[in-house]
Amino acid sequence: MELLINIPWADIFEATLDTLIMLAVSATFTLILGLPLGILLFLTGKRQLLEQPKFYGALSFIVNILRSVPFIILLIVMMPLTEIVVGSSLGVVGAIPPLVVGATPFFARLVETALREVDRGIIEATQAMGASMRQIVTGALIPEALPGIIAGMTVTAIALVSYTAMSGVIGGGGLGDLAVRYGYQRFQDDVMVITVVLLVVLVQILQMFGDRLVLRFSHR
Amino acid sequence: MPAILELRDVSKNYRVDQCDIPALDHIDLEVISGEVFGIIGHSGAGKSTLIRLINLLEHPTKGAILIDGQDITRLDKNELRVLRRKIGMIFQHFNLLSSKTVAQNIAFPLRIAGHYNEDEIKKRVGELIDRVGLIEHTDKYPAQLSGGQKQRVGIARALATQPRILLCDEATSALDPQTTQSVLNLLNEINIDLKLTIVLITHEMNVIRMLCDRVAVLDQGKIVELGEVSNVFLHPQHPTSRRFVYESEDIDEEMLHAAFSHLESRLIRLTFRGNRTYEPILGNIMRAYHVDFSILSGRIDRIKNMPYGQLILGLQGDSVDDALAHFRQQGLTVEELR
Repeated sequence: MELLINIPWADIFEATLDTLIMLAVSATFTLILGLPLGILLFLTGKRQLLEQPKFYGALSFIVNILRSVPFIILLIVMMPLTEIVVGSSLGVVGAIPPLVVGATPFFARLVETALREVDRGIIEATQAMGASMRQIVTGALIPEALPGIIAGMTVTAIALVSYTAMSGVIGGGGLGDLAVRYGYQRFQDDVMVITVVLLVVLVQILQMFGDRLVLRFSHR
Repeated sequence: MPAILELRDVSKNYRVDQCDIPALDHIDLEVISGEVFGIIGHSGAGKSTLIRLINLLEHPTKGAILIDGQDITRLDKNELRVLRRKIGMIFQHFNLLSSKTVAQNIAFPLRIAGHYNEDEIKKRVGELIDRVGLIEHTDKYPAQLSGGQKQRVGIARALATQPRILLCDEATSALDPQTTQSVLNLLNEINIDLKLTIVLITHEMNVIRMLCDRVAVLDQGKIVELGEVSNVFLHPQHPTSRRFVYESEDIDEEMLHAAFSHLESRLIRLTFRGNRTYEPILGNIMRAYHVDFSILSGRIDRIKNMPYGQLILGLQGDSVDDALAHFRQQGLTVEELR
């Protein structure tokens, strides 16, 4: 029982809050940037409405590069850029740009895949109605791919949770950082277990919430 | 009657691996306002490409496509979108949006057109749902409907913007025979009530027989026969047309010829059209000329609303020629097979 006496509840609370803030803000920006990027990838892809082999190739290459850089490296490499964008390369604020840059290409690929699942016949029918490109995207493609996009966002949000754990390197804080600092560096296993449990609960909630939304929008 | 649609010397090639594969080869055709025009062909004959040229989902490599005398291949993007609202289209696999209800699917083309207010949309959608008989399914999603119901939604959606032409892309090929019949009846009703021109493609001669006024037979990218359905159906000239007719009628010509080869009598094919089909012409004339006859094979049915009968007869007697002349005089078609 002695173990539980030294639990830094205030730190845990703060770390939970930090994780949630990093998650919410970075997920929001990932959605805002990744959705259009995914749509662009889809539309310029092979045999699609705005087929542009060279453009698609270049964009795809950049996305692949960003996806292959380990997040911990991205975190450090991006420091100068982060400083310019948000005024600091440290703490929760400093963690957000690398989180967004790390997750956006990942999410964009998932969006592209979800859009490819849309029946070509539906796109053709919408074209035949005299729809503009924008109407095809907003009226047909996104609503039809919505369950897939939501599922992609869920996977991305969960990936972001694990990315936030690494942000401790730049003093980003959060539950993952706490687990490393107390559990690994100070051998306080109980703190580590609590933070890990909290992370598991967070991931479970995200997955459940995502699954519910997918079901809500799926009428196939 | 004026032509609403004209294809003039239209060709379409697909580029595959630096080679031009011709899909359509010098197509000329005219569709008259208010008619049901059918295009029949086997898969790969080019019919799917042909129907997609009419709303420019595919662009011709060469040639002009005229709607109301205007060459649509020269339209810019915006003009083309406006034109497409005047051409409805239904599809083999319905292509409804799974994320929208029946009512939302039907409202979709109206929202795309952009110049209808909510009240107008609601009213129009109500009318259309009523016309296709789906009132109790208004708020269902396509996944909850049967194939026939889905196609009815497709038809309502295609009619939403009051098109001048309706394109049907194998609209009944995914449906069972009974549902096919009810969808064809609905299309026929629409053709008559709205005086809507219908262009359809199919590989089933029965669809042509039940719904179309004229038909073009497409084979390897070329129109090999074109005419009134009754003519093509009763007297197909091209081997491909003949194959379509005989397939649908379950006639095996070679087998028939073999079966009749030992008969001594003269063989003729007699074709009745219209109400004459129901008159006792055959018996009367045969009796009058003392000709003995045996009916070797035959079919009696309707082409759209016209009854027809076509019999292969074996004839014996001294005045067979006089009898045949009398048949011709009565307006029947007589073909001597042997």
